[in-house]
Amino acid sequence: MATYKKRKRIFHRRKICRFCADSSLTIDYKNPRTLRLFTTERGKIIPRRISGNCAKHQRELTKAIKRARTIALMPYVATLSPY
Amino acid sequence: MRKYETVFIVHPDLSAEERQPLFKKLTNLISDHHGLLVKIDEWGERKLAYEIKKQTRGYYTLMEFCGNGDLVKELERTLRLDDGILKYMTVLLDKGVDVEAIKAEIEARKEKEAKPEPVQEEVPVPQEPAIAVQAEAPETAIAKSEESEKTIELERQEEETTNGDI
Repeated sequence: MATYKKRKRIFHRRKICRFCADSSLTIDYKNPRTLRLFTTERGKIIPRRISGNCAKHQRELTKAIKRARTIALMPYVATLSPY
Repeated sequence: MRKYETVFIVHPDLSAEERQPLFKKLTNLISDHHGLLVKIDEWGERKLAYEIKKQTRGYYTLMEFCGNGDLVKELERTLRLDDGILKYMTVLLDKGVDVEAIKAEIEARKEKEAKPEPVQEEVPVPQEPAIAVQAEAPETAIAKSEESEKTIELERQEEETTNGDI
């Protein structure tokens, strides 16, 4: 019981997948503006545990971001000053 | 047949006239390989996320087409050989596609693009019937009860106010 009380209380906010909640938000590699919301300033893909996306949409998103990188719509590595 | 889309970046220093023969070459290539060009969408000049061949800007073009693997192979080969192309990427959209359905879709889109012009011409037309209704209104009002007269008057007032707004 003592250990239970000592345990750090972590604040859990229920995350929802933004693509499931908003059907107007589509994943497309040709639209880097929405994809940019799911990358860090450095251009890394934000993990699912932080963004809260569902597995299905995260999979699509990852693919779209990688495609956008291939065709130079999104950076592989971005400098810290955003474009 | 399969449906593909290819995005390619043309060198920004090429002018519009210099770009045209390249596009023609690609469209000819598609028809030579029994493919079907769905659309060519020119996005225009954009900033690249990273430098390609020392260029920071590029002219993006999207091409949607139907065809087989041989066509894609040949298309990518020509894109690779062309010095005016910085980079290209082909994405498979659909594995089994009905050619007739797409042909109909293209024609429907063409009709839609052709239609907007007559619609603009029709805009002033509705004003004429409105005037005709006003002229007929007094005759019908006599035949009908007072209540209907009131409604017609209200309608007329509304029309006047809307006309004033215009």
